[in-house]
Amino acid sequence: MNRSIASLIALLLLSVLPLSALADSRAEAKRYFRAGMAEIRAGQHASGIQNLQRAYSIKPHPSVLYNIAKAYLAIGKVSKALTFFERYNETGPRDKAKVTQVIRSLRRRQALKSATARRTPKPKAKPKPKPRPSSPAPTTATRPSTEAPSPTISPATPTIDPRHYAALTERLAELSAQMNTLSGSVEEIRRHTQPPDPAPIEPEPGEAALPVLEDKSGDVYEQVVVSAARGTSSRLDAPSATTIITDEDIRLSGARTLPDLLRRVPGMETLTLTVADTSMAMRGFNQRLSNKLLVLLNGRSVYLDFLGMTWWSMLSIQIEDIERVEVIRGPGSTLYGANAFGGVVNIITRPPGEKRSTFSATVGTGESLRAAHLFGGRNGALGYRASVGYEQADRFSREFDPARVDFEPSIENTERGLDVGRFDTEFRWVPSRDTSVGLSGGLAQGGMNFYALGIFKSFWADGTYAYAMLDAQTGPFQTRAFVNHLDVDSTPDYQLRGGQQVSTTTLAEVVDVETVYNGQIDGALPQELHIGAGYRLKYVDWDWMETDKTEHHFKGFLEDRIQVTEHLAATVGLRLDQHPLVGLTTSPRGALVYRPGEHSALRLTAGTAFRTPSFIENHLNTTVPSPVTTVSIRSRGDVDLAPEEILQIDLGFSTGDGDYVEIEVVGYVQEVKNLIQLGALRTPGPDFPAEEARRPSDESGTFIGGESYFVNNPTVYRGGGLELAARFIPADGIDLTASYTVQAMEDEAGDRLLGNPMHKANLGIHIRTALGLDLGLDAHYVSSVNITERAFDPVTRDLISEDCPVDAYSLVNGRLGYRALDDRLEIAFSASNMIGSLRAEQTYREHCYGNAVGTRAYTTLTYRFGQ
Amino acid sequence: MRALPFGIIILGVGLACQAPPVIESPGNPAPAGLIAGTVTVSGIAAKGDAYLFLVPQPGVAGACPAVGTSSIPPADAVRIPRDHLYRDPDGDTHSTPFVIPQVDPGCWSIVAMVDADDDFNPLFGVTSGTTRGDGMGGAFVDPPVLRVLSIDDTGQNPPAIEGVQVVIGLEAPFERPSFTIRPGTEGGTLGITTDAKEPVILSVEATPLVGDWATTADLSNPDQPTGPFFPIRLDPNTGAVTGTEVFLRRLSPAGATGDAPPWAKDTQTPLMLAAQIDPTPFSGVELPEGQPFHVATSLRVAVLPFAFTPPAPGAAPELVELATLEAGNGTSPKGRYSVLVRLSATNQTWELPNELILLGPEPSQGATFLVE
Repeated sequence: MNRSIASLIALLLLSVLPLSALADSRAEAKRYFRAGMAEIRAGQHASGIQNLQRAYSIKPHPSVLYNIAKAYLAIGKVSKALTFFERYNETGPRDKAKVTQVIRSLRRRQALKSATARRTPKPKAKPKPKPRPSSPAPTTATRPSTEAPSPTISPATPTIDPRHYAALTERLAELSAQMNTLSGSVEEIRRHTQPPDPAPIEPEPGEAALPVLEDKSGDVYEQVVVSAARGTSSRLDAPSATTIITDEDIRLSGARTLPDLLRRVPGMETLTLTVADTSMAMRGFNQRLSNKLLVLLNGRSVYLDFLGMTWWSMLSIQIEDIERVEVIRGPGSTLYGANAFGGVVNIITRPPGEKRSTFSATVGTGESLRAAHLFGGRNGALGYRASVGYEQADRFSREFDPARVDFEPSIENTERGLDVGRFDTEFRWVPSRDTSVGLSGGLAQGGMNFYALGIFKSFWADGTYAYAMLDAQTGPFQTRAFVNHLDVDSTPDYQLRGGQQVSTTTLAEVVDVETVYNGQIDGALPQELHIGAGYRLKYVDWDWMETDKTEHHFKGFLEDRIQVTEHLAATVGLRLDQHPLVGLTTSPRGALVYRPGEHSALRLTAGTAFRTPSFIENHLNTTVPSPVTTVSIRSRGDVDLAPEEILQIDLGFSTGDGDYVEIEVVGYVQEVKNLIQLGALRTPGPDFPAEEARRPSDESGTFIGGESYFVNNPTVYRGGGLELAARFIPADGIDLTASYTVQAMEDEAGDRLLGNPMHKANLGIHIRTALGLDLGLDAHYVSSVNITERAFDPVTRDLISEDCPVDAYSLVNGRLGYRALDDRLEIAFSASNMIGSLRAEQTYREHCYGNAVGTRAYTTLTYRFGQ
Repeated sequence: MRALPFGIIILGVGLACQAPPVIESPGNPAPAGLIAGTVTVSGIAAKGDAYLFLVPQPGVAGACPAVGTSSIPPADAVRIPRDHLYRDPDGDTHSTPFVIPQVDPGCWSIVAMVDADDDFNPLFGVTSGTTRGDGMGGAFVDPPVLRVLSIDDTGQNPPAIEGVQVVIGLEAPFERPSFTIRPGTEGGTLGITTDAKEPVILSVEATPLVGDWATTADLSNPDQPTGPFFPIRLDPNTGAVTGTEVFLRRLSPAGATGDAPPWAKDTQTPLMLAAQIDPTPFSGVELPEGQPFHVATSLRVAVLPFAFTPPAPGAAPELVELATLEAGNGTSPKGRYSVLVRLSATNQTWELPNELILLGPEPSQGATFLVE
């Protein structure tokens, strides 16, 4: 195995080193785009267009088409301009109406000129003159060429057919661009061979001028962030520490799941419990049922309120649906209300309207199978996308030896860890620049293995998680409404033979409506203002609660971004949440972002967040088996629980050169209180209803030996951390990433909180080659941790806190891919936990109760139709 | 280079068929055995939920004793609801399968009962046994000799023992021996010193348990004999009382400070004081015809200045004078003691103080015996 890996790496290096490689695609496209726009501004339209086309071929972006069209128009190439304007319009841009008007005007002119040309005798063509290499490129031109002979040119005057001249120019530019990759002297050659740019076409007398086309010369490849504030900003301007993972990061990493992908984010904590269930948390406080990270899918919460966790595997999307993932590190309740405690993950799918059709199939160890088909397109103002797929995988390990006589399986297939089908679709209608309506929906249907809270452990959940979302924007108003629906049966994989049987059925619904006004205030201090309000209904019918519960939540929020000076912006926000049990909660946030340079930012943010008790914490009422068969423990929620609270202040500095280096340093301090946990066991006595203890429970047939409530931990924890992240592009085609996090929390007595790993480090290398070979390697290190778990002590017959030590571990995931047929076909071999085979045990654990994680290897074939 | 993709596919497909290994999490219950079989209730009028008690037996799995004893506190209890047991309401014999889960390797016996008056409760020591009218039985070699079941420690997964027959065919003749102590007031203390040479005399008065558990059919009927009472037999050779036994058991020191419940036992250095029931009231008294024992509602008990550690089942206790113990190897007999009454024929016990204090006022809960 080791020799095989070494051989693969050697093969890869051999294939990479002697070749001119491709850069990180976004950075590479960005460089071509910048160069092209600079050339266009300098009047070098032909080479500028060439660079824009290169940029577009590397990473398509509608604004590039627009700029190409505009450049062609500037040099009078109306046909080409029309082609690119039309391609631009096919992407469904918000200024489509305006561009359509331009297209119509240009077509009218073309028709007019054609008619004129037909009435005018054609001049006799002369041989094409060769370009004069020694001549400096003229900076001005005579009357611009058009695609039809200009009526202003006298038939008696011999001249060059401008179309031929332009074609030659383009060919030369293309050649020079190709040569540029081989020799630094090409620029010089090109300067000497560059023909003069034709002058822009002018309207004929009496003809209306073209509508003014806005400039789109901003850096269209700049990564924008939509989750860190109510408005959109660049990553550097975001008022919170933000990490972006792009679709290409996803592709090159070979990550099969979102949690695998999110490991690389500084401060992110990952506990892989099963092949389908990973608990994630940001900046500490991860646990078996992670409830302090809010996960959004296109802004829609997918947090399961009844348990307080995210079932990543039951999201309706395919991983290829994802355009990017934005991770907001730090409290986010000012924006998202409850449960945006340690951070927010917003998964953003590709926009509807992209003309694409992709089929992907994966087969791998552990009975891993996956097939997905994604497609999208556009019909006028209506864009759409859809994906459908199926995925299955065996568990990393089985919890019970089938030879055991004391436990028996309560599900059909105890080897399967994930078995789910997914469907997701989105339609977006953009009839005008200021109006859009989107409708999306999806469902995941199937089963997954997850770890629940308390003394229950491995469960199989089988059911449906579906949603529908409608959003509309008109002018400054945005409205969004969604419904989440979960209907699931959960059963422990194995149940005690002859013991109390534990299974449960849950129906959970969420209805959410939110309206926002987005305004701008011009003046001495330009401001972006966002004011909104919303309502959320939560309904849970769960047989582990006494009755079904309905909750009505209300929210109101305000955010103002003030551009104080050219380099300094302040963002202040406040949100009020009304919870039926907790009452009114206020979540303020303030941030200052100072931009000393184009690629640097210094940020100071202070914010709060809260987590409201989940339904299980408020309303649980069920019995749990104890080691004495006739005795059970009643687990109860408590409606008087206070919300968990966090106050965090973080200071971050980001810098780089915009192309090859990005460095981010963030330090934070935080205070956390009111953490919710299972309390001590109340045995029969004054605090425990005697009636419960006197007779066997009708529900379980057992005597209730005690009760355990969820309680607020009175301890206040304080601490902080430091996050370092860097990205380097040392050479075209090589992308290196590194991050390191150190954190510590302690209680009021100064004792360190052991539940969080102190050190985490990530290293990544992604290589793309011109030969079509791609390599991605991601290495992760997590220091040891001692997680506290609740356990039933058969001797004292009490719930006790049990140390749950997890050793430090290292993890390497990798992918080797090969692209062919103009990148339409891609075959990739990927593996997770690649160094697992080097360990004595071959496996490792991220949680003491979780699966022993072994090595998985996958082969994936992807075919992109019609691109 | 073209072969690479195909190689990758073949590699992927080739590796695809592997079953996940069995690697149990540390949080899982350790592998254990199982005892399963059929419980049969026959020949008794008592009807109710059946309870099977898993009673540990001294010995090593694979070399267990031939027969078991029922006097050791059970390690587990399994409830069989009456709905499962009495499928034919008119039948005389009722059977249903049972499973005792999670049986650790070792030697075990099964004792069983039918709770005819719904007063069994495993949460409290004093209510976790039979009362008058309950069915009694077990897994026998030959009734009343208990069968010993050996769950072997195979080092991997302990086995299951299936097909075990449990029979419940007797009715308990006695009510549980609930009592109060005199002299002494509620919450008071009876004292003795370590250098005492003379016994301290107690009066143990049979008193019906109040609360839910006292509301039995028998007690509500004034024509029926009321309980509890103490069955007394006299050893024809020694004249000593044998049907009922009285002990004092040392309580946890933490109980006196409130750090532990007042009935918590001293498990660190378990110690008992010997006591003797005064046979005088029964000497020379003729038993009614057909009665194998005297019925006593009051006992005169002499607490002797002798201590002993709980003996192994079947073994005789070794009595040591308190003074000797105090001056001896450091095992001081000082401390607070509960009073425990045991009916030797049925292994029914009652102890004061006990956990029922939690559920409401109970008579004379607090009378303890202090050795100073």
